[in-house]
Amino acid sequence: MITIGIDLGTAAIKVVFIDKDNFLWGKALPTLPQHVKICEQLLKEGMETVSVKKEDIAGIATTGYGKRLFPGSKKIIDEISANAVGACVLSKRRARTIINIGGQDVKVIKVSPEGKVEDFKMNDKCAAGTGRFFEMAGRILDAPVGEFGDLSFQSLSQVCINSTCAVFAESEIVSLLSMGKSRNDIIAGLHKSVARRISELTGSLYLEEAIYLDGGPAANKGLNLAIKEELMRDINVFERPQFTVAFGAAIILSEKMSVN
Amino acid sequence: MFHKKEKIESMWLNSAERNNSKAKIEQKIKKEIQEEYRRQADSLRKRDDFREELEYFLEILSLPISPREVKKRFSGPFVGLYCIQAPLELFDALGFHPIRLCSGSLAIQRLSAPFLPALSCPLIKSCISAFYLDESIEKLCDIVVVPTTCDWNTKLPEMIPEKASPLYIMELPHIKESERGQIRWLEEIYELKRFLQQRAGRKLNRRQLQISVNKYMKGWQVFGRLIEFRRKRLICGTWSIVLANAFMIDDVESWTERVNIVLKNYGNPKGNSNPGVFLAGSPVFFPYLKISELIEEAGMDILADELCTSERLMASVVYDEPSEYGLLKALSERYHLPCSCPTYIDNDRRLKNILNTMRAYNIKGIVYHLLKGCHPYDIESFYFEKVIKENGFHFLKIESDYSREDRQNILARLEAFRETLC
Repeated sequence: MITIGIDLGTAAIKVVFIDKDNFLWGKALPTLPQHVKICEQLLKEGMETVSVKKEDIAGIATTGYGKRLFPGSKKIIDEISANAVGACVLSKRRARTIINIGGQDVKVIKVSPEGKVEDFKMNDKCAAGTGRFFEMAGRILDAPVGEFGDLSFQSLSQVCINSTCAVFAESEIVSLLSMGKSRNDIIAGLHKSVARRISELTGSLYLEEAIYLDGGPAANKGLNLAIKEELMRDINVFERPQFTVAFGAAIILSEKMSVN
Repeated sequence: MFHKKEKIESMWLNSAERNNSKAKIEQKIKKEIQEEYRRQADSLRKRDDFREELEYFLEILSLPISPREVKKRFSGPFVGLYCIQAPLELFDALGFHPIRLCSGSLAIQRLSAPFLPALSCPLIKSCISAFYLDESIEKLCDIVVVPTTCDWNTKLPEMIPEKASPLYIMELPHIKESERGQIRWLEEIYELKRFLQQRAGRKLNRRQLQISVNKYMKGWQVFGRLIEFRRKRLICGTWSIVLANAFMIDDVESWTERVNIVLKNYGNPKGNSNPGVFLAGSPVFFPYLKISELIEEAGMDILADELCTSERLMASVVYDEPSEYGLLKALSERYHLPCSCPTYIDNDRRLKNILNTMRAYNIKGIVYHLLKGCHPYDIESFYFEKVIKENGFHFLKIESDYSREDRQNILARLEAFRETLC
């Protein structure tokens, strides 16, 4: 039987189809006010791609900020627990620390070998260093966020960005551009600035190996490198970092159903 | 010490036209405040565990939006109190009705925002704003007593507008577990007595003081029962906080009687086994009940707290010697020594109390609530986190303010925190 996980995040809605603990299919669309419609559209596409019928689906688990918005949910799971389980399974139980960069928050999660959350830190209401922050930067720099990694590798002289506040960084970037700083150098500076912010967030949490990075911005190789340098630790990135949470939700539901 | 304020309110606009515009804005804010109080009271009424006898406490907590009702309900003169160190019994004995001036209103903050630092403690912002309304409990008070606890309170006289009631400052010794600190606080109590006598136009009567101490003792006993009920999950954390908040405004005898009625009807344990948590940190006061409500929404029971607007209020004064000195000394000790406000330098007691309670009631986690700008609690939170985790408990720090927009963010953390406790 197929189990589905939907992560209704602030920046994107992600749908994942799994069979036991195998990732079958996943797709994300930007979050818009019509949450249910987007979910249904993704579900339809997934069912067609995987060639499954409604009766083959054991259930749908929802997670993320909009987890209560989808009426067809069989189980509502908090995003931190879903992330822990998802990372645990995908890393073959190696993950001990997860750094999740989401649309509007950053989480650092300590996880047990069984996928249980042991401790976590999360930023307060502030979009500093999150997916939204990169979206803002992409808009001003006129560069797709997906290309930030490659662009930052072309930087010759990284610029220092002092602000990680999504609002103040915007004016700082504009000033830097008007001073003639190159786009690539600014992007490299942004990565460094976000990495520093993440390092501060970890605070008193001891970052236990192995450390995994996930969430949409984790696909950015330039950011990964900056985080690695800032934390002075090895950082692993999942193949599909955006889908870890939805995957984890599907796993939790699948396990719950097999127990029942 | 008696403070006369320089004109801050002149910063409000001077001309008739500007005054008119100020009045319009004030009217608008007043409506928003009333709506905020109403919304919170209604949401409490809609809860499954709402009982008719709790309505009384919601009425009491709505009094700040109808100060004329305060005059009708209680006999003055009124003394407004900041913090919890000034002994209620002393005011009562000299005929004053003590009201603790706390506020959890977000809407009201706009009134003082132009005159305060942006990162001010939300509670202070709201309390000071009340002085800018044409009618408020704060303005109804004949005197306002301010112990110098945190920096915000210490600077309070500078922030309160000129038209406010006279302020009386009590200099709080920040080292309490020393003979010197205790002697100094007793001196402050005596000084307060002299000031109150002057305002009341009569001397403190020893017998009257003893009557007041005994009257409050009954209140403390019921307060103790309320705490016991909460530990046994017979009443939930949010309602306990509501009842305790009401204690800060109500007449002690009415409060005691009404809480007794509530406890009579709350005798059955809840049929669930939610993990229990300890709520620590910055004060929570109506209508700001976001934290306790979200903890419960996330599926946890608040079995204990140490909030100065809830369990820490309980002074439980007992006396050995019923002379005036004996009674005042007992009051001085009970309101100072056991108080675990983080503004004290020697405050090991706070952490010990929390750990002991958690062990005694099998509470596995602590939610440490911080109001943005509440520095003493913030400073202590780091050491607390370390020690609490070392002792095998879970710790979650939540920093917030009176706004509502971070509810989802907080809820997400609380739900995950619950999983760590299971």
